[in-house]
Amino acid sequence: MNTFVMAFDSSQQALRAEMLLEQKAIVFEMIPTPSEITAGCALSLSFSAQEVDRIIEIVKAEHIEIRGVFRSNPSSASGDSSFEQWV
Amino acid sequence: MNDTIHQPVIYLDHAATSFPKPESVLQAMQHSMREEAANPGRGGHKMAIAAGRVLMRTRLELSSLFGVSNPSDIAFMPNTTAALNQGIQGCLQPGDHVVTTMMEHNSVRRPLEYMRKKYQVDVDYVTVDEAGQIDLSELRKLCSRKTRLIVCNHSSNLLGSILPIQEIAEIAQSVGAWLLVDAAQSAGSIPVDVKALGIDMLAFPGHKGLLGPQGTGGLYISPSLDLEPLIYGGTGSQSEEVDQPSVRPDRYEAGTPNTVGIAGLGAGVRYIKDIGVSVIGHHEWLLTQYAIEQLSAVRGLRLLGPQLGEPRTGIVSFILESIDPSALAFRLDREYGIAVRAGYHCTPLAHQSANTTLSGAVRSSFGYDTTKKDVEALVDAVRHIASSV
Repeated sequence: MNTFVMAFDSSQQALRAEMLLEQKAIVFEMIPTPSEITAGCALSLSFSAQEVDRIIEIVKAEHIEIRGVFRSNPSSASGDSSFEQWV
Repeated sequence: MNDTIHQPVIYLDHAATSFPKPESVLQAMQHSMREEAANPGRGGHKMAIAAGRVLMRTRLELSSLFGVSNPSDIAFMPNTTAALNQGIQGCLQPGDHVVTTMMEHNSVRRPLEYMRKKYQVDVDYVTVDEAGQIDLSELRKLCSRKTRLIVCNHSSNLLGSILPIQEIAEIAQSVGAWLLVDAAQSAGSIPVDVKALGIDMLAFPGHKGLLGPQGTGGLYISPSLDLEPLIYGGTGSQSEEVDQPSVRPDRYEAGTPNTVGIAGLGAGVRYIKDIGVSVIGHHEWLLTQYAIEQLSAVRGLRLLGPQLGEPRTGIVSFILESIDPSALAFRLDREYGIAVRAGYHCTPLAHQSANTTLSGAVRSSFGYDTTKKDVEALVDAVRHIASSV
């Protein structure tokens, strides 16, 4: 289950990350950034907990700027998933 | 009126824009226009993301071409002029000092003179000799602690001469100034590695040596340089913020980009990388050498720029003492179907250096598609016209 979201301020940087992760055969999904993180029109990558460290490492090594990494919490009171900042 | 050109044209105006473009450029543009020309960076739907990927792929091609490690340090611009304006206006503060040369294009001179009038920026021009070279010690002497920027072309658009960028970069570094290089005539013809050469900003066209369409170009901005944006507006990012985003490349790319053109530019860059920039540059140089050898035998003809055997880009400018350059260019076009450019070539100071201020000159310029036969046709036509006046 994809419980982590990496949000970008620049869609170009998100697409750069996408290419690098694809090259390394990492499983992820590109999604519009949940409005709870930012209401802008940026893109995010969602992925499972086991990929978090590897993805952060790749993004740092390539100087890709991120808004942050967020963990979804499906058991919030409202019933919708909410996000807490992870990085 | 039917504007279609039926007569075959010998196109020798590559310094203005390259023609024809590779078939792959046309195909990439058509594919983009037909299949995926949504607005990149605006919206998360599949076609918008596909359009965004087109931009990123071209950025990556350009990064590897220019030795740029982070593709986000390249911002797309509509042309070299816009890139130069962004570089010049974005880094100068009132009271700063700039050193440039006497053979810059108006796209450098005019923004500098605007900054002089509007913001009291001090501008000095290094003199240029007839071969299109500068004296590095003069450049060094003009620099001071107030010098914020050195801006110069890599290759003159009138003379074809090539400046020693690495040495100029060393001078810039020694005085703590940024170096902005106008690569309008060199990108795609001379290998350019921003890191190896010490370039802080590189302004380049997409539609000349990189073989992309008009309306494309870009600016490399060193990560250590925080330029003030020239254009403010929507970027599709940090939309809730009042201020322009700080994140690159968005900071310098407000407004809908030329997605279709950038798709073509990417194909153009791939095309020249497959051939090799040095191979293209050598082909163009051989053509200039042949043109110089042949044209120098024409009575009353004066060649501008570097001597035979010296390095230069694919530009050969000349004047015939017996005929006005604009009349010569007109006759070459109408009677011989040869497209060249006459006049000042937007570089009046370079004409001052070449002693052609009163007349301007005729500029022939070659590309990878230009053949020796094309140059022969030019030489024959010039010889014929020279003997007839």
